[in-house]
Amino acid sequence: MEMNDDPFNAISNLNSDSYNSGYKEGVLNGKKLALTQGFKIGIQTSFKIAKDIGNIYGICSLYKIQQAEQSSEKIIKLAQQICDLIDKFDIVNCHDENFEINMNLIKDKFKQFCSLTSLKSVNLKNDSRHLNF
Amino acid sequence: MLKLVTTLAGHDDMVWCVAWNPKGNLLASCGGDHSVRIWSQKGQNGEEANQWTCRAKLSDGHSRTIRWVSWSPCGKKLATASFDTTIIIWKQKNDFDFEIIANLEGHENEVKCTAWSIDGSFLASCSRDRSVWVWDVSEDEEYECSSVLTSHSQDVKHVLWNPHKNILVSSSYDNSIKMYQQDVDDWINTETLESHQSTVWSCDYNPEGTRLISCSDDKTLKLWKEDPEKKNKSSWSCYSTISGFHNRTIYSVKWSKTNNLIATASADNSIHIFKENESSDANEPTLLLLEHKENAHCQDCNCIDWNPVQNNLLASCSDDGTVKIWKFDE
Repeated sequence: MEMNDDPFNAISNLNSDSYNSGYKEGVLNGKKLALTQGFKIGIQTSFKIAKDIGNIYGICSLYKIQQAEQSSEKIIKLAQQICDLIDKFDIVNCHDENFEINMNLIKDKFKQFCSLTSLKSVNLKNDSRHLNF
Repeated sequence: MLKLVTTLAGHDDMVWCVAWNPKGNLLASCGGDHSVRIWSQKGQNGEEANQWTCRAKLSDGHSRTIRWVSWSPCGKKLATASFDTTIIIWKQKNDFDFEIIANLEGHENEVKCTAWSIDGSFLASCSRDRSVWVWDVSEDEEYECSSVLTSHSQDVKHVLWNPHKNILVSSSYDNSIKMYQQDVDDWINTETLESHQSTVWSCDYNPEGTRLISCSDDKTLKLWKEDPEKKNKSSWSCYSTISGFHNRTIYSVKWSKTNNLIATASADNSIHIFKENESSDANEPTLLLLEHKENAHCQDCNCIDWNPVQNNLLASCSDDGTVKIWKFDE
């Protein structure tokens, strides 16, 4: 008699068979869940990046037009520099090795712009809830 | 031998930083009680020379812990860094009277340190928000942000200027030290010094500004020097690691500009004093221990500073709420 024909064999393998099928199902469900969660996180993150960069571009562009006559040359030059950086920034390609460097450079320049113009920088803040020395 | 001159009590909370003014006759301290205290000797001679008193208490500026205090090179201004995210510039009106002349905002989290460039034309600040800010200081006391640098990946603990050139150095929780120089109208990161295994708490230049010593949470001191032959990005390299002296984090290191001695303050409550070994034998240690003061304070020693004029006089401060003044006799 073949091993597979043995009814007791199926019983003795019941535990490992159940484990294997459960494992496969778990992998499939996990993949689905991770894809959904990853997609949601991706949307949230990209939304925040695009919103921040859009805000910065809008403020600097408007400042160049409206304040050109009243402001110092230094600030106008800085606003132009920020707009140029954003124009060159490949916002869609988050896999670019310089993506984070370029984004941080824009944010740093905007912080300097806010400081020079006494604007309050909004929504660019880090979390600061725990104690730190 | 390290001899205690006096213990200065007055702060109502831990003391984070001590700093001598350029003339070496005033000592500023700051801490968790949101105040800066200015201390000086009662008199120049006799018994009064060893008696110190609090001449001023600056407490109407910051709303949270004052983490750092630094004197401008002219000795007339103080810059304080606070956990309330601001930097305040105080100007000396007369001997012990200070007024606020600027409140610098921009950092998003706690400000950890401030430092004036040697000619007083720049002020640097660093913060838990991972950034280093360089402020232009104009002759009419205007403070304008010159650059925001986010080269570090974690909070920045300390900033320092080269004693002869406008080169800025920052130390960070990301275990690295970075150097910056002005490039046309911006500042750029020119060097990254990596060797420490944990947070770099502070560093200091030798009197000539050609070498650097750093201290860390990894309980080591590291000596760095520039190799001008190296043409690549990192021409600074670590040439010596000094370990086995402190058994907890080393928070502060100061290289005296008058006697070339190196003092360290640590979370193990001790103060150590070293001098460079002048031997050229590569098998001999780079630094020789001159003094090991155990239990210099009852709790963590947070900061130490050599007097810039009076040889061998140094100040320390601690979580125990005191400031101590020490005299070192070789």
